[in-house]
Amino acid sequence: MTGNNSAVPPRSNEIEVSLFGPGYGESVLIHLGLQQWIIVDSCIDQNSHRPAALGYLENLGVDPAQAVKLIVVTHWHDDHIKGLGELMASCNLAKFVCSAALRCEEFLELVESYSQRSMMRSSGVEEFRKVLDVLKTRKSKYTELSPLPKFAISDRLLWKNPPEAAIPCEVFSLSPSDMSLNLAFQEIKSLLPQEGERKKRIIARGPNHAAVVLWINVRDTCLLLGSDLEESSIAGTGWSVIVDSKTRPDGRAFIFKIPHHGSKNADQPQVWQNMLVDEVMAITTPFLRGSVNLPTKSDVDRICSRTSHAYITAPPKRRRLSKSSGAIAKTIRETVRDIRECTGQDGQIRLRLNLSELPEGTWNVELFGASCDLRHAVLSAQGCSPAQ
Amino acid sequence: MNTAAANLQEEIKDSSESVHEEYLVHADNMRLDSTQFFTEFGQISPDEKWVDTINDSIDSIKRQKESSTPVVILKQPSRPKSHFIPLKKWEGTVLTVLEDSFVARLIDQEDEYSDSEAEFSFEEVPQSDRGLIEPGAIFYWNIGYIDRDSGQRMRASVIRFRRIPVWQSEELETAKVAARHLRETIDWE
Repeated sequence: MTGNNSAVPPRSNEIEVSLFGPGYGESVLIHLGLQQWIIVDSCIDQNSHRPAALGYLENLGVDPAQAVKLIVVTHWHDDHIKGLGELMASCNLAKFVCSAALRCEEFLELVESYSQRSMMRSSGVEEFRKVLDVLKTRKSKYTELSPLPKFAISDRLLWKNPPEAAIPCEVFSLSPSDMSLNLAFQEIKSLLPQEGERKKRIIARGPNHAAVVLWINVRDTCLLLGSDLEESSIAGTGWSVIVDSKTRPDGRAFIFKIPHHGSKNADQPQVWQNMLVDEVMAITTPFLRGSVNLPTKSDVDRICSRTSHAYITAPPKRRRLSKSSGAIAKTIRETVRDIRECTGQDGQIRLRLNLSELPEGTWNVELFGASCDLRHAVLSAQGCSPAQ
Repeated sequence: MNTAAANLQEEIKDSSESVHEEYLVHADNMRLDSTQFFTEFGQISPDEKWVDTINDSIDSIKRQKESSTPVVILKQPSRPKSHFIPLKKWEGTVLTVLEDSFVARLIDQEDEYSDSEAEFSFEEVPQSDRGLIEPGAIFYWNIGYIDRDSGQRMRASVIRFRRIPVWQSEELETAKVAARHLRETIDWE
């Protein structure tokens, strides 16, 4: 199952879903067939320090400027947005989509307020500033060629192939809902600086109400990308709205990007019952920050009880700070109560399916770097929890 | 002015060019060690205020002389100088504040792609900076050696929080105008 050569491009009639992480954050790259690609979120490769999706495409010999048709940012937390500015600059024919939560003037005010570099660091504002700069440049340079950016909301068609295309494709957003948008607007407003308030960086770690969930149809194959959308007790928000929607696209997905790193907060059993095929190919990335690593063992048990095809880009374990030695290491130990690296190992899960073999075709799973079977990841991570 | 006082006054004049020296001032019942001296007369060297302080001292001596009060100024041996040899520096951002500690994200200043989280006890932060500990606050954490003239070497961990000015209404208004312009500049489908 482990991949041998990641540099082999997919065939024209092959669909590919690649999930990268967690060098820093996560990113999904999808080949829709016919050398058309879409990118969802962005993360940084630890070795090249470039957007993982971009490096991979170049490695395949694909020109991102021509081949990438759509870039979607599911939300603005920096573990989903790092390198986005470079992606946008390289894929200058791609349509840009982000959550409609970011259409409020307060978000732009936030970006402009924190445009001083040292203040932007550590938040998604820095990358978003770059994206807006690219969009401004496009307006003057590529008016004829560049598609207009678009906001994602519940059950909206974001992009589709031209009617004459041999492989029909459609990309829909299933969120955010109206109520989620209201909550997101309030959250953004609360982050705006006030006169006389001490300057500090933005720490946005609230619930991901306004994250964009994607539904992708490629001929008869459906994909569900769960972003970081969490289930919520607030009516009109979270996964329940998507499950109950009468206007979302029909079908059951063959691939499920598990939301929010497999956390219990993002689990909605009806998604598995109503929106996914049995034995769905489930993929996710670990989250290595805060007081807990995700997915936890109980998260893994829950996911693995629902499908035997679950994979993760790297085990959910953090490394102790390893680069220091001697006096530095000694002083660190004496000073802090605990210290952990937040970056794990790079990994890529690559799933490919030959569309001409449908409906009987099976997905070819290739695991690169630290990626592994989810069950194996837990065994690997055991004994490495932050408390130890 | 007696000879001793004159010599000391000369010494003060000379020392106005050597701003790193420290003195003990003794006048009548007033005895000031260097800390009290600077508390009394202003900020410590090596900035230009020192010269003013020396001049103030000379004026003070003159005044004392006119009132026939004896003044004795003794030169103290220089305090051992020390210098910091940095080994490692991080920029930190406070993420969460707990009961007696805080969790921060750390970026190694030599590797901007590094990313760590650490928990620090409040005790590691100077008392004067503790009021600055809040989510989003920025600080620097230095690890290094302090070498002293005496030949001693000490390992040190130094945490200092940035004192960033507060938001001004002009800045916020500028951001508001720029945001409006941005909204009008970029067309959305």
